[in-house]
Amino acid sequence: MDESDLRNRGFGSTSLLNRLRGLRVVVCCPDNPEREELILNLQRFGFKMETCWPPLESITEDIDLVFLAIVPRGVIPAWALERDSRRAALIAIIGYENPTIMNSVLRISAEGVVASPIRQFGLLATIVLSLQIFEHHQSMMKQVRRLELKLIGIKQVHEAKLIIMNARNVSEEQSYKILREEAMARRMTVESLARTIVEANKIFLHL
Amino acid sequence: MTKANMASSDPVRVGVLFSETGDISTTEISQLMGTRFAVDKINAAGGICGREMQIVHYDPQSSPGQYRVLVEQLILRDKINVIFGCYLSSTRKAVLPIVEKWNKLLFYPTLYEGFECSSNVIYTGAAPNQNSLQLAEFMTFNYGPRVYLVGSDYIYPYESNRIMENLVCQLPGGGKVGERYVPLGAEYEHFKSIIDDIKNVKPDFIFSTVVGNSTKYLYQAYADAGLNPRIMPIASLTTLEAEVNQMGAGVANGHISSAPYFQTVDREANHKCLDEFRYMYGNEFCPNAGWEAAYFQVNLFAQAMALAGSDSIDELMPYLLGSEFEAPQGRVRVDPTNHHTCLYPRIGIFNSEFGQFEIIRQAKRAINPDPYLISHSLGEWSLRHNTVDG
Repeated sequence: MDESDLRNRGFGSTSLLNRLRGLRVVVCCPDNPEREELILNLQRFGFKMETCWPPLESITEDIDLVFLAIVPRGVIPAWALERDSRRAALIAIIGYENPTIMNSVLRISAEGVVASPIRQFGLLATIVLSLQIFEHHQSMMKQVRRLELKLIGIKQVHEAKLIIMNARNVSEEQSYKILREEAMARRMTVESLARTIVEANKIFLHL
Repeated sequence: MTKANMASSDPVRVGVLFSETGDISTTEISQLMGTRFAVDKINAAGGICGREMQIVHYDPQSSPGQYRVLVEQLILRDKINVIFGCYLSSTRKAVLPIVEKWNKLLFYPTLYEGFECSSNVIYTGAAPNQNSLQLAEFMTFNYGPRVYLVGSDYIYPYESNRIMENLVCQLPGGGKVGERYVPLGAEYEHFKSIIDDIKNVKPDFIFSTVVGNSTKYLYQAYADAGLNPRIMPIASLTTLEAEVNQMGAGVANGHISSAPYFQTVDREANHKCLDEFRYMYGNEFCPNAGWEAAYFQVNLFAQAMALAGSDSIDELMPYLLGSEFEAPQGRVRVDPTNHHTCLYPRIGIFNSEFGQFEIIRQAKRAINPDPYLISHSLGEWSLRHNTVDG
């Protein structure tokens, strides 16, 4: 993916900043003066707010960002532990900076962290950067999945070529030509035809 | 600070927040008395450059919420610039944002879990590299590396236990064989099932991070179960003279604690302090490490103020950082880089015959505070301590 792609997908500075107004945010934090301060600041930014404590059991798809208070030895919801399937960026709220708390922050793989009591200055920068890191991670994961599939496809094309080479007693080059022409005739991709051949061959071998 | 306040005859008013009631009262009363003692002595010697020190004290009832309210009252209503106070980390955390907001100065005379360094605080209690490390080394060497962790349910025990676990795991066969937490203000009943579990698991030693008035119940439950401290003692950083006073000497016998100060420190400065303290206040109050830190930190302040001529933080701080004082535990020094204090780690084993902790290990030199140390290593301290006969 080149830089212009990234910009189109929203990683460019302008589009991310343009999307901030109206951001949907959930604040999972016990009711205390610090939470009031945080909410006040988020409202000033123009975000749509929800608060909850204890933390929600699941995060709905329309949420962009979650703040989660790290309570020592507190229960961490399952969605917070799975970064790859999480749908919203996550910012941890911490009251202490010792390794016990840091371990919790690392466990949930938060994109950002804010210290309680919350200071107004720096909050927006943390939010913006966290959103960028989260979206970047999401897009990287998507790409990784695509490449994984691609890799499996290449492996299967190679296997299918071998099968055709053996069955027809042809060279590798000819084998690939047969595969490609057959795929075109059937209006499928070379990869999916290769998969069919590999699967069929497996069944055939077991007969 | 206003001009009027600066007049050379005006009293120097300082804020004091230690609880006389609530779950942590015993320990905090010791710290309160250490503070009063220092102030009374300074005044008897003519005050700070002729100015009398006056204490404005409130009882925060061992509650973070009360601490928050009262520190604001001290700063805004009483116009106080310097505050001595706090035992629990949760109360320090409640006070800190307000102290920082108004740029005031807090002296904190309590051991704690580290990982903080506010420009508005002078920390005079031990950081983990000044007590946990020494305790782990002593316990694992003498009793074995399998530890059972019992603590009060808040941040200091979690982090202290993490450090202890990290230390014992460095040894072959070492590790945590149990970890239990009780609420602050726990009763005897809370400890019964824990002691039962300990009897089953048979650790090499127990590490207690139980704090406050509950401490006595852990040791009482241990004694009632007929467990033997010679074989499997309770080790602690927080069970000191005040707590032992509450539980009775027999129950504490043979258990082990690590602190920079015990009443039995054999130094002229300590003997003199203890005599004076008992002469002034009788035997009702119990000197311990919190008392001693509370005492010497007031003196650190008075020294700095005499030089600065002001109690505003900006003027005091240059004279505080790097300053030294001949404390009962030894000559202490405020580390200018991290606002914590260079202290003398000691290990004491309680001896009910003398009714005191017998000091069996002590550092030859003051150990520099290192509040941001994540992984401590066993074996670093042994080269630098004296073994006291016994």
